[in-house]
Amino acid sequence: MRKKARHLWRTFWYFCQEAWLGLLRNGMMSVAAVLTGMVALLILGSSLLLQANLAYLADIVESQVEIVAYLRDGTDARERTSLLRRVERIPHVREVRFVSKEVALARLQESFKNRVVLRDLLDTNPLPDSLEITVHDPARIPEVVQEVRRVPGVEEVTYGRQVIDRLLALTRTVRFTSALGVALFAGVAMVIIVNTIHLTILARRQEIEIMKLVGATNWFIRWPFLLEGLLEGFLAAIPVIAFLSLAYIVGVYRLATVIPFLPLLEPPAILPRVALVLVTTGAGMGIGGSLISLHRFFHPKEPRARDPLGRPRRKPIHPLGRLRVR
Amino acid sequence: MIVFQGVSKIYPNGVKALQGVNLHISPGEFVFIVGPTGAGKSTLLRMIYRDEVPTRGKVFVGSQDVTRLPSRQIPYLRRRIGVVFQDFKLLPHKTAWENVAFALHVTGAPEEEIPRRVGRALAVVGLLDKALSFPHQLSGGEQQRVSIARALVHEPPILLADEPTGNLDPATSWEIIQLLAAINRRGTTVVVTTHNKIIVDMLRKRVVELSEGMVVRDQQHGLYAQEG
Repeated sequence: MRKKARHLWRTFWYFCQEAWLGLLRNGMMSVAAVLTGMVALLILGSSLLLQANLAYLADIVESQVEIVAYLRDGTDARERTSLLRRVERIPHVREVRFVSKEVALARLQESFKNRVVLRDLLDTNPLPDSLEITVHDPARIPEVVQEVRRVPGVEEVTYGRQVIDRLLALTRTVRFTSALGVALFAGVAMVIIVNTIHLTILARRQEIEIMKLVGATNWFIRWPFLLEGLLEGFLAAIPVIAFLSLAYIVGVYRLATVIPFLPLLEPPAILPRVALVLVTTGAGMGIGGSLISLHRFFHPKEPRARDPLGRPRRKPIHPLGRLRVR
Repeated sequence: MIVFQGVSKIYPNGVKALQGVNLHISPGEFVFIVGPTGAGKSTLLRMIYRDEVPTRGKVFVGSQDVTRLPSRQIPYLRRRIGVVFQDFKLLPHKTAWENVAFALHVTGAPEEEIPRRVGRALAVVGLLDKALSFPHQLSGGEQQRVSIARALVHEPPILLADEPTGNLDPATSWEIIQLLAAINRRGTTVVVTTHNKIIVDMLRKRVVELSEGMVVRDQQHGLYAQEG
């Protein structure tokens, strides 16, 4: 058992050495592969951080969304009470608060602080009485809004849908553009990795030929190349993870002092997940590139039959077919 | 041991390398395959170690039809067949010892067995004293001995040699053929393709002559060319 383990370990060590040698032998090509991979992963990582925070923000905003029902002017106290009861009976409604026009004006005044004094500008209060309605589940808001609109005495109903819609639209845009960028750079990185591995394969062509001749299994031959691709993927992922983590921690700290009320995900809540995605994507790019390269080397396309002038040979013409033409 | 049944090979470019070859080689035989360049000698050898698949027909090694061997089984077939070439195919940055050990390393042989087996293979070809030399420090004949040692290190029942003396002077060629004959006497089946008339005529072993992909002669104790 221990002998077997030692043997496996030695084989693995051999593969690693070969992979590392291949990486060094390709020099600038390896550097190019790693750098392009880094760009792809950097876009992917920053986009993931941005998306996660936007989603988090949307969640919070959504949970705070209120429906505001403006009441027809001149509604008296008795009507108001029955109206309140009716709205409270609508399914999914959690709480209904009455906000009188005076309170509304006072709130507006407060939001302006002391820069503007509304009392000086307006002789009458233009704001209507209103009901502030919260729901148990933000997803039910549209239904509740429909119901509230039907209640007599309600003039207009608004809710924070627009804010959420905009946030969601922004998230979609971020996701789409970053996906495009990631696809582009990951594609370029893969192409470069395919070529570096191809160079390694060519440099070791003689060795591979002999390995096949003396009966090495295909996987034994392939492993060093897979590891070389994997190594390039890791080498791209690690600095990106380090950089993004640092930038995010510093950025969250800075933003928190500048805009204290902005909800941001804590670094420990998001960074491990992003790191995992980056490592797997990097590894995937590397292994994918190696596999493509190995496949092209081990399964070359059969050269197509050619006529003496070098043109691809067409299907043989059936002798009877020829006769029929005549 | 090795059986060809109605084997034909037509390459995609239309070249007919072999046409309806039937051949039976018994265990322990020594066979020369002769014929002009392009007669299909190398193609024939390559089919034995499944480097090439016939277009039609079957090739048996032992009781196994190697034309129907799944590709993941091919390495295990090749560990039972040693192959030697005209250009030796040695790795230039490895010593004679390392070149032979390479065949064991890459097939996952137990580490502690490697020195003993490499030593024995090099002893068979009489090159133990040059074990630490690099290929460029060895003569052509010595390099071919290293490649024979590598072919033998798995102790295969079959040894194939494709023009093993093609790059060697007559005296060295004779030594190499003597070595192959000695290996054959120890029980290994040996199949040699060659252009070398003198060697074939001196050894008087079985001769299979190919011409344009067809077996035109199969003679025990034959000469390079048809007698009379």
